[in-house]
Amino acid sequence: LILINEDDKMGKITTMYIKINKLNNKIVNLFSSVQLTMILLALIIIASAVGTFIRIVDTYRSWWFILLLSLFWLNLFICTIKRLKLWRTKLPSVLTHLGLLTILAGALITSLFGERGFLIVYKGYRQDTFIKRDGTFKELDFKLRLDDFSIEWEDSGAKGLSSAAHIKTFKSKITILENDMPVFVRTIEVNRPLTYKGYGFYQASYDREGLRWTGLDVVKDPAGAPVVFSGFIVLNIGIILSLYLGQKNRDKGGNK
Amino acid sequence: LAAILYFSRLIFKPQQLSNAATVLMSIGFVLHTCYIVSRWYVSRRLPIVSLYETIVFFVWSMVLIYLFLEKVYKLKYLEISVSVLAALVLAYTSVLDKSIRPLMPALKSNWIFIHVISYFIGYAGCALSFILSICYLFVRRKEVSGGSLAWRLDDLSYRLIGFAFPFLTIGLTSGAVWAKVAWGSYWSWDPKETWALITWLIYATYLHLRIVRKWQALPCAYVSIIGFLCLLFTFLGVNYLLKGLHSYL
Repeated sequence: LILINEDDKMGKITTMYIKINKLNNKIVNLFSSVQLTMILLALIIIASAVGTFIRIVDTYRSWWFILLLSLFWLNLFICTIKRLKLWRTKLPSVLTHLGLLTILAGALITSLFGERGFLIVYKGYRQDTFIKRDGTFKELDFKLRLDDFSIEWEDSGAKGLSSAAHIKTFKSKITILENDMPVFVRTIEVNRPLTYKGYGFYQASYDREGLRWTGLDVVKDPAGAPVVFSGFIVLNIGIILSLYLGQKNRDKGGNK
Repeated sequence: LAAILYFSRLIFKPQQLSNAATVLMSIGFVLHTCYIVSRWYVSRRLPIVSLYETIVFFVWSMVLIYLFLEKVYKLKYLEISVSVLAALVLAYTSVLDKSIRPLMPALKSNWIFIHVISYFIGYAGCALSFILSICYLFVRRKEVSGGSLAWRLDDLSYRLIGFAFPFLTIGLTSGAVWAKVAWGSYWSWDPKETWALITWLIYATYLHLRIVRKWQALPCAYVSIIGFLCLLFTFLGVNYLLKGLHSYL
């Protein structure tokens, strides 16, 4: 590019513009490089591996781990954007990476807007407050009443089962109350949570001495989980397409 | 019944004649299948729940994939290593708790089938790829570079990871969906989850090295070996060394 400018001022602005453009290109190139992906991946792998052994420090919520994930996201984003033009030929690969980006974005939504806590409710009593992860309390605008808590045991005489007693399931019979008026009754079991007004209640623990109370995990995450799960679907489709179709294409190429 | 199975496996250990070995291996496989089906019938659920059952299922899928490879790719020289490994692993399972137990409450979910089955098919593929990579390292030393056997081993190892990776992905994501149903959050950085993610990332790196960077056989063989060691750590090491939510396995 050759620029002839009579006006000195204009020339300066033009060179500055070119410089900024170059810097911009450099940043884009850096973030779209596979080398950077590999370095980031290696760091994420090492950090998460170490994090499983050293549990005193919460690696996965530390600022530098989140920074690593953000850089990884940006890197992936730019690489995927660059490939969007080629989507006709590289659809599986684009889908895979879009899926991953969606999953990470969903995880961010969960960590920003999600709530997580725990509550205990005694048999016959009502509860409308749960304790959040950070130790603060939060009041719900409805109440839970525990009507009954019970443990069901596996039939020990059943065919082929060992004789020791085994727990079949824990059951918490819960009534939801709005303005102290019962709305509905539902039984919570493991793998069978109750959801009301965006809050999910999950069977988590119980009173081992007298079955007088039940402990429920409280989770609110209306936006994050659906985003993550749709990311899962896109990711799986992308990976299946790219590895099984890619294999076929390669076979054809090999035969030629 | 399991004992008969071990015997049928151990017989073909010293076998050198490849046709006879294939026949014996197929017989072993049929017996193995009968064993799994009978256990299924007795327990009235898919036998993929306890550590013992999952390892038995893992060996079963490994032999199945191997027999398939043998048929399609006319792969003959791996019989001994695969059958020795199968026999050793099954011998190891004889010291584990074999009793049929009812499912604990957290495991009572339909997600268990898709999660466990896809994971162990994936594991079996990765294990075979691991064997091929190790064979590759040995063959490479003997052969002049560019030897056809080494090339085939390397190529098959890559194909197996390509086959296994989607299963690992289904296993990981279905596990996350199940975790949401059972525990309320789809990801909690539990050691097992974290190591499964690490394994997944290593195999993803392997595929990128192969496809994008066009790396060749030797470094890839090392990555495949590292990937499988991580996988083993995820499956067994985490249970023994680290505490977490997956403690029932």
